Amino acid sequence: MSDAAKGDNSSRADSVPETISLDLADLGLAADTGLETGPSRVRSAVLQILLTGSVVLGVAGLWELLSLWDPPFWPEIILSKPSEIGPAFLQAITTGFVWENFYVTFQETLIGFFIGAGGGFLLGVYVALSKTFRKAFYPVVILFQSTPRVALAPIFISWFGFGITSKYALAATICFFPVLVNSISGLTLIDENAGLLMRSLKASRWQTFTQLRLPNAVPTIFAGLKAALTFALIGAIVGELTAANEGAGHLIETAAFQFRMDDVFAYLLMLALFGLTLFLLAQALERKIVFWHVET
Amino acid sequence: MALRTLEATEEPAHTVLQIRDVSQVFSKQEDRLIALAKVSLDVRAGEFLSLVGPSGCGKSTLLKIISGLLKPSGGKVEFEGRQVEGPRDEIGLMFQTPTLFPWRTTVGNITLPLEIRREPQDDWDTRVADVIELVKLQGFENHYPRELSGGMQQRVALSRLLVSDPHLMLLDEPFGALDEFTREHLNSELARISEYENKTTIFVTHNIAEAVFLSDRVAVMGTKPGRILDVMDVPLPRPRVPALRRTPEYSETIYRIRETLDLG
Repeated sequence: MSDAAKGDNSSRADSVPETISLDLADLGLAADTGLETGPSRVRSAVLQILLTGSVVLGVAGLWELLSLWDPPFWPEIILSKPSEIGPAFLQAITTGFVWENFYVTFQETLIGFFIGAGGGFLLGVYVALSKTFRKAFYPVVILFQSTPRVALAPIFISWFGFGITSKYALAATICFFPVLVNSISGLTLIDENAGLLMRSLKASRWQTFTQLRLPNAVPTIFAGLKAALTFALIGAIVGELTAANEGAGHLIETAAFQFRMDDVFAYLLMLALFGLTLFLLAQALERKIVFWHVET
Repeated sequence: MALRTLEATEEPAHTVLQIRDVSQVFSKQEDRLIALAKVSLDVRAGEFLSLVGPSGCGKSTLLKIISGLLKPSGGKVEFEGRQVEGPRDEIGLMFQTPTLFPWRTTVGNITLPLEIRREPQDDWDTRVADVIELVKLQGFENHYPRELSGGMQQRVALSRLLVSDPHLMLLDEPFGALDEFTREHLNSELARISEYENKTTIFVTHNIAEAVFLSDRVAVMGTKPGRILDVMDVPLPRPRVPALRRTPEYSETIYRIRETLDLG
């Protein structure tokens, strides 16, 4: 087993997909790292909020200022301005109809995520445990991994229709691969001595899997899951933009057709906050489960 | 777990480990590397024996063969009258890296062998408490490896080895990655523990002073091909206390080993 891990090391290292590594510790938003003391942590968090807040306000202020110019730099119909987006945002988050559509997107994202990530993990386990399977599957996996999977949207629409099923399919397909690839690499790349230790203890395949391979893979799998969550949202939105009669993507498209740019930006802002919430939840869960893993 | 006394060495201990004409050849395409050429060695029960030599002399390879993790190209190894053909419960191994599982606490790491072997849980607590006391890890039972220093991590690794009560302990440069002070300290600790446990121990190192301080005998190895140049007795009394490092016998043995290495 150590030979296998060693042999595949080089080829695998460069094929691990890029995962989103927005490190919230750097942003001062992270939960405790256990290293910083209380007061200095609070101070750095406050400083962070002040700095980021001033960037956001600065950009919004500049944007507002430029849109007041006479004659205008751009027609208001193609780019709204903060003083209109703000009220539009407030109106959007207090309208039941908007929430209903966002709920559809939320559902598509999560169900697509669970199908895709679950499938990716299970196939990953299967591929990782069988050398022959690994040899057979890996090149195919990499090929699919390198394909822009959003291009599958029209195919899924024609297979599964305009309804929600095609969105599940797209979201699931997009987030399947990062989880698959990360599961395979996490489960196969184990410390050589740890493998020798398990062998010297005469551990069974099952024991080696549950006691060494699986826990060893959890940090890598989690990195894949975090990427997959964001991908699932992208999949749902792309599906909706391609063809749908409900969902956040549909709202944006409709508003853009009607040149309601303030609404378009309000919906975008909602989506951004939605994506950030998902990511932060995943991050918090990760810190809880992968407590031993120190990101470097 | 009998205390080793000076009297005990008077009656000759019997051989428990026989290494007969063991050779190991690694072939990489055209190149044939003879890692070990017909190595033979007898190790007595309760003996502490070191394998010393430069890198490439095959000392770690020999250790792996004794552990049953590596099948020799030729020759055979017999422990307690049975040929070693794979990993065995009575043979325990410790590496240069602690090789602890970061998701397990000190206790969790120590109980790993007991879990893997599905040993009845009723005496785990006492066994773990015993080794923790022996290795002086009290107060660190629930720490995770990343919360421990390198020296402490190796103490946990040693505990994990001791808890399964092996008859033969194979230590592959266990303190090689530690700083000089920690290493000397841990060597004294290892001397104390090995005298208390009286287990047959094979210790691989490239540090001559360390080998002399710890061992009853030192097997000096040479390269190209990997072989045993000489096996030397260490004329130092037990218990091995740090003050022995200042005796003429200590320096003399080191000198003799160095000479053998240079000639080899």
